[in-house]
Amino acid sequence: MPSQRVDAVDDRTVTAMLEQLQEGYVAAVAATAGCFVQRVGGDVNGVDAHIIRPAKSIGAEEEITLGVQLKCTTQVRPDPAKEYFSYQFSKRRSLEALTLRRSIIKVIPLIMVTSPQQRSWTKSTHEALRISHCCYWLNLEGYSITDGVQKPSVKIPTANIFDADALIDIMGRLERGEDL
Amino acid sequence: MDPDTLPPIDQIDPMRFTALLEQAGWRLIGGRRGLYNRLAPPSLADTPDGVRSSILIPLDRQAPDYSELIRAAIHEVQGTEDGEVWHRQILPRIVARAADQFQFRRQTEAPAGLIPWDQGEYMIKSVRGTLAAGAKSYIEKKRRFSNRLGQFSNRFLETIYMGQTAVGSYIVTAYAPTDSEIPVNRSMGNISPGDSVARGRDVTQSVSRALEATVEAIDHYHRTNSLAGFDAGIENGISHELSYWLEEFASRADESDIRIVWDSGVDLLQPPELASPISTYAFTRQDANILGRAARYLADDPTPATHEVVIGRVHVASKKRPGDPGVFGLEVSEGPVRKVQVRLRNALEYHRATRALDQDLILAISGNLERDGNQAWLYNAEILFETTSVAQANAQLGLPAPVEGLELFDDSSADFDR
Repeated sequence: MPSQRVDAVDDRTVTAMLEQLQEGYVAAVAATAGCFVQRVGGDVNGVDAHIIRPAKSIGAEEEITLGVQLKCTTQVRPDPAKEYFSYQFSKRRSLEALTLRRSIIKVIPLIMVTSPQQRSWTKSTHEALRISHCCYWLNLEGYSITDGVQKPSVKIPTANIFDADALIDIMGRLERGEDL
Repeated sequence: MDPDTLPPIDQIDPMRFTALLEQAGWRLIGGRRGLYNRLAPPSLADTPDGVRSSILIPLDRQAPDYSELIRAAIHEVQGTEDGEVWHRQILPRIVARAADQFQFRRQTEAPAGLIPWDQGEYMIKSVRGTLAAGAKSYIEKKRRFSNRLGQFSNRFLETIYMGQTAVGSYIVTAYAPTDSEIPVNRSMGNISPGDSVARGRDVTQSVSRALEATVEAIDHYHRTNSLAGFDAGIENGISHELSYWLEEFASRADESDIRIVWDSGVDLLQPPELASPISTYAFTRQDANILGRAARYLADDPTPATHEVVIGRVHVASKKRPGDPGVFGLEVSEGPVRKVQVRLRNALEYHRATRALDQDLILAISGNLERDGNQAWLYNAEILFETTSVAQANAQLGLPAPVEGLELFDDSSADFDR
């Protein structure tokens, strides 16, 4: 998780704060979509958290779970006018984990783009809490990684904003057994 | 998490994992049919935090992500406050093979989870002896087995795993696979079609019946002050050996019990109270005394093999605990064996053996001579007289001058481990 060139409140903790910022973002979106977020302990093959849409009633087997890998960067600023932006993984292993075929729990990356100015990550008004900037999602299952590249890049559609509507749609597709 | 402590992932049955967690108080709160179960830990099962603290157990063993999810589930359970439960209750039973669980528990004055070293050693030996004696009763009901069926009971013990001890007192746990096949007359691994084979569960049930009969016999003793209940219980598996080892297990403990948790195959459709029936056999310190009396009573076989008189020199004497009758070893000058271990009928006579040891006296002893493995034993023995030489002893018995003893048994071992 890159933290270079960040104007930090405290250099010692800025990486952890980037994680916390993204967790807060994802938790807020999930809450809006009626889902729980559960952190996954340890390094479980690139999965940082599960987003759970609970069953209609406790014990009913209609729950949906989505695994997510959390990435947060201050290095890029996507141009909404463009169809894609590029994100570079710092470790090939992280991307490899996302390309695995899975049938029980699908896993996607959530790539958050934020400001290099830590103090500007959030702004509160009487109307809203604004979190800078945006989180994007992408399905990389089965994606082919170029041989030998240690820090591979992927193209992320700027349209794939991770918000409550997108999450509800993703959960719906998973429930129906459709591709993401 | 140390992966070396885990059974192979492909041996882990996710439905058993689910059921074992439910037995430990976890609650099924969700899942997807055929894909996974979600369980919340006991303390959070009824709260919103239950989902956030839950674990996901994958069910589709063919799924490409099954292995990583089952490893993650194990990691999560180990990391919770139920980590101890994982090691004691779940790990030993998580593999697909079903096993009944014996828990031998002793409550002593030692801190929870600890036991004085020598008591711990005795406890392990008594557990082994109890299981062996109970297993023998599967094949045959006998007042005293001595060395009979030792190979069969050893084969049964070979199928058993010793599990983790538990906190709260001192507990020795043994897991007896229900479906193991124990040859009645052959060594393990040499089973041929038509061979007589005992199933692990059936042998465990024999052990259970023998324990139940023992508890009933003790209860009968409490009511009548009679050992007749032990006689009556022989047909249900009571024996000298079982009483002897149970006394060893129960003595010097404030209280003790043996629990058998019957593996029900963890059928999720069964109500929890039927999922794992438990049999419990409890013993008090007073019961240990009764068991000791019963063991000595049952050792006195009404149809002994041979009644013999031996003459010899005491070379070792041993008394484990105050009040025990004591055992001593005799180097035989006149008699059918070269060495014999002697258990006296009257414990008060033991001092005569120690005096003979101190003063190099020769003893003439009568008793029931029996073989136990490669050892000769003289049970229900009586010291006839002491003297200073073998020749004098022969003369007193009206025997001719000393001759070289005939060797009936291989008595090379002088092991006093009894």
